[in-house]
Amino acid sequence: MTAIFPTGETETDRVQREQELETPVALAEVAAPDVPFAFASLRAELAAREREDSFAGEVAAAAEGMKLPATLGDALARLREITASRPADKSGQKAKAIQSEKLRAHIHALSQGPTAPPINYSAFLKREPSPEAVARIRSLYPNAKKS
Amino acid sequence: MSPNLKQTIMERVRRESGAELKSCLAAFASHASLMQELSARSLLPGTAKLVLEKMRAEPLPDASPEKLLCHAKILADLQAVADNKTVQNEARRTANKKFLEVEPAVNALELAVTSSLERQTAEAVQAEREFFEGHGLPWEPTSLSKLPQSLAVQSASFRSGKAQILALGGTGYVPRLSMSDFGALVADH
Repeated sequence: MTAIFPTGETETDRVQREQELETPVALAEVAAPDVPFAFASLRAELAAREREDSFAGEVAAAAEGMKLPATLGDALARLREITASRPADKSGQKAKAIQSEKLRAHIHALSQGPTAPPINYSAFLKREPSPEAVARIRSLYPNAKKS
Repeated sequence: MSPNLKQTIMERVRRESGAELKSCLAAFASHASLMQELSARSLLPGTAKLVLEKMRAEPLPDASPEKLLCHAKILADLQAVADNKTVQNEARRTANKKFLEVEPAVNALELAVTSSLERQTAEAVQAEREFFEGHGLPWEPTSLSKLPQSLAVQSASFRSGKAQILALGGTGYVPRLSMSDFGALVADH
């Protein structure tokens, strides 16, 4: 039999395909899995796979194990170490990029200086009585030693 | 030690306007004593209420019966003043009237100081002319004649206080006078 549209299929392939079609399928191969099917579990599995594949997952994993220095000097020294390091493999290079990025952000945050103290503006608007008035009121009371 | 030009100028101003300076200081002192008296008696607008609030917030230490009776009397007196707007307005009016009474003395002092400085400027300009003419040069102002002009005295606290009193038309503003306006003129007072 000559095919109208050539598919590039060889004679051997054709024979094998026909044999497969003729062979009856065992019931055991199409049996239901042990775990019952549910969309929720499927979504969870897909999300987990996505998380593993994504770059964000790697960033979180690399940054999680990194302890940020408390002072600016220590942070700069650490950045110098990371910059000087030459990782051989690709994952090491990626980790280096992630860590140096995170450290740079941390150095920027440290170099901003302390936050301004909160100002109680209502205290500025609150008036105090004059000292001479307070002194005069005090002088009006009888002496404590006399009573 | 070379003589300080500014000190020399101000000493002469003080010598030439001594009477005006004395009367101005007396007027300022009179106003200050009245303000102190009104403030001590909590008669100025709002002060009695402030003192009452402070007294109510703080507990009375060593509250003997005599002290408590005295406390009650003081509170009643302050409450009477705090409730009576007329009394407070009268106190403000008295203080502001005294404030405006200072004006002739301030004007006289400013005039005397300005005249003295002008005389000194004219003398400095004459000296500069003679100096430049001796060298065959045209006259030009130097720091000798510029300095007296820059030392003009004006009482900023009085001017602003007067503007506030007259502009607000008798609302609760009670300005104060400051001797620091006269700067080096009253440095030793």
